[in-house]
Amino acid sequence: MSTTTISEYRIDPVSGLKVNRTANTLVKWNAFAAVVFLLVGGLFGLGVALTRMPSVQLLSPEFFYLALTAHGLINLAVWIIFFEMAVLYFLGAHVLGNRLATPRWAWAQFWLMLVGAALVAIAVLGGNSSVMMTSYVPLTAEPHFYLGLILFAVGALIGCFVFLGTLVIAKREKTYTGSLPLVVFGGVTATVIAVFTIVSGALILIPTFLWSVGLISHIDPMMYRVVWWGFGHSSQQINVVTHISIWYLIASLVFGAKPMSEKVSRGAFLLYILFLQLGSAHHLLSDPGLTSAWKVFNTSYMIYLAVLASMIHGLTVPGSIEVAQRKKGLDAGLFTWLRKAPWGNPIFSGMFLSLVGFGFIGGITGVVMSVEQINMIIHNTMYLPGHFHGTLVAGTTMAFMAVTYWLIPVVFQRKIALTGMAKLQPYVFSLGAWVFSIALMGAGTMGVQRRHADITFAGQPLAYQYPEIAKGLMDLGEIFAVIMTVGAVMFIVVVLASIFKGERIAEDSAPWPKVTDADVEFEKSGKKHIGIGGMEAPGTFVLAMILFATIILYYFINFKYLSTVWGMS
Amino acid sequence: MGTSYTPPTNPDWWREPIERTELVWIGLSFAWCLFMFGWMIGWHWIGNQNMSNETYKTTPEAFAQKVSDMQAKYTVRKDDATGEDVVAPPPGTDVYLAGMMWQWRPILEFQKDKTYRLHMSSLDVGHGFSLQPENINFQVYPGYEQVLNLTPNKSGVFSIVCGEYCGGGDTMGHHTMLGRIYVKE
Amino acid sequence: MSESTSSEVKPHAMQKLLDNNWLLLLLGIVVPAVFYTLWGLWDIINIPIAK
Repeated sequence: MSTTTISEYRIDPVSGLKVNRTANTLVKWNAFAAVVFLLVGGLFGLGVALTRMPSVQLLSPEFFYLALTAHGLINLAVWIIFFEMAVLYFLGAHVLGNRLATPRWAWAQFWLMLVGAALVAIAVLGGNSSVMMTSYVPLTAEPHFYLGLILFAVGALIGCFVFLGTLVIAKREKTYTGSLPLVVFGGVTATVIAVFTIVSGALILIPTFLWSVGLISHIDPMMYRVVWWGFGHSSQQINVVTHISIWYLIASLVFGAKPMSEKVSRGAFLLYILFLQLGSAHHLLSDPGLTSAWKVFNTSYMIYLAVLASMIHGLTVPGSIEVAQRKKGLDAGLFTWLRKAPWGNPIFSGMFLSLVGFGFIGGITGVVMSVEQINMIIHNTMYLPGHFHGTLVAGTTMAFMAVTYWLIPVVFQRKIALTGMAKLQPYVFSLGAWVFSIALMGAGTMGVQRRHADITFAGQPLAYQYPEIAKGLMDLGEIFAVIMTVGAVMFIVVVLASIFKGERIAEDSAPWPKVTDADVEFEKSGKKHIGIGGMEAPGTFVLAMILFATIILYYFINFKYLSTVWGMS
Repeated sequence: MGTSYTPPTNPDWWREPIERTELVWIGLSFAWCLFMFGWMIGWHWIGNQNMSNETYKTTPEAFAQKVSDMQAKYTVRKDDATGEDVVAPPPGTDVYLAGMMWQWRPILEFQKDKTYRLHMSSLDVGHGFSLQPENINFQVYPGYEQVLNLTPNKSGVFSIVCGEYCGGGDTMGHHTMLGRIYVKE
Repeated sequence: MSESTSSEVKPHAMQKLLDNNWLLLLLGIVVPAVFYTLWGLWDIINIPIAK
């Protein structure tokens, strides 16, 4: 059937969603920019990895510090936040069958972020802004370094308010009834955190910019760190919330899973809204001057309530998959539901690997590291990059990659090309990231310090030699960094091949088969109960208890180790 | 059909009862959260490793003066590796250690199982005090003087490296920043 | 798992809170601003001068 005018909306055959074309364009551009920056930042990361291998030492120290600054900013901030803008517009518009509020402002978001990122890149590549992503004063970068970050942040803030405005429109135009879907509520949570993040960033980067051009005479280094980490860590919390929302989304897309309890999941997001930002304090535990009261209260995210929230999502996400699988008949034993999951589907395998990687590698180490006293034996060691590649790479980036395999057909209207490579990609990437993280944490436990171009102190009269095992772990870890890079390149190749060469999905093609509704199948089966012993998700419970036992063990092992070092009070 | 990307099927979703798996897990997790909070606080009394958080505002000039005063009083010999002064302040006294681009000075000598009031500050940018192989790590700032009541429980040669990126280039920099503490029996 | 509800049942107060994006935004900014940022800066401002 032909039409002479193209309507504002189309019905997407892949997802069944009512898609607004303008919103779709903005999702596409933000997602594409994100992937380009992932590649660029990843290549800088490869340079870093090959330099930090004691047996290779690829880059000279000066280039190493430049590459490390670039890698940190591009991968930690630019790739991830561009992707999150795409996700927010997707959640606010596509998921709600809605249009974007103020597309003009959405474009402003895109261009400000792009120009800001470009300015930062120019500054860093110029060689005089190798101040690391953290840019602690009194280290000085060029003025356009700070200006670029400010523009980037302003763009992101605009995106947040476009999203919130989009939700107002959806409610007003009644594109949905009742409460927001859970994943969109997750988007709200992420946005609330993002606003605090960006305002903190502005509060510190604007004065620092003015200082860099000589208009302000002094920035206190301790105050800088307190305010900066309100920006620096909170930005990572945006990632956590976003990737958790994506986990819930994928569980529904692949399994027809329903949230086990809307109250529990949303309550956990509320704990995030209130307390997640407090955890930025864990960057300042080994700082002087801040009282233990402040440190203990904030690093614990308020009596560990935000940690409780993470543990909750860690159960309810796989739990919802288990319930759906059991209702569809995979109710035997503890783990049939998991064994019979579609491990060959990169949307699922990427999501589940992200969950396990984030929980076991990133999560456990994060909770332990952020204990006020244990922090003294890990602060600024290689334990930190090991940990945060567990959260950000094995966790967030893997989840973002997984959902991209679904977004490309929906948003770019192309089938995934190179499906063989796509199937393998989550495994390669996760293998690289997991071993990298664990190896670096091992080296950090043995004292290897971070942000060092050369860990051998070659030629220095007072040289210190790290234990041979530590150096071996650095070599091992960085080899797996190469594997991680291969996994990232595989992802980018699949994405580019699909976007440009993938088989087109015509707008009016037949709807793709929907995953069956677990509740409907359960009713048809006539069974009354699923699970074991009154628990609907016993397999997930067992996995959660393994995580629980690991945390407890690791917690006390670290305290035991702490108790052997020099006495300090 | 209930999913995570459609509105809740039950409009009164807050009043829905919580299923057993979640309730048990929430209970266990919350108990562990309370324990961790209590343990972190309690370690201030039962543990031998805590920061004092005793801190003062100072200036690089004022702190450098304290360093050189101590050095003048308590230098005991020249270091084998560098020929510089080795300073051995008496136990229980104030010891001053300065971080600067790119070294920790002076070289110190302590006695095992004795306590020292170690004052640290930076003379320029932020540095990271990192004692190896003990792997004890602290931030050190210009303009701030922090005090640590330190008791070495092992003898030997200990290195100080830097954990906080402090600039530098190919020949010298953050990655060549070193210091040393000798601990006698 | 769902119970039958009549359309006159008022949503629970917590549900109304969780449905209020602007209130959540306010809470999510004020709580960390007070406990993390302001308290932290307060600690630093009160650091005494060395003798």
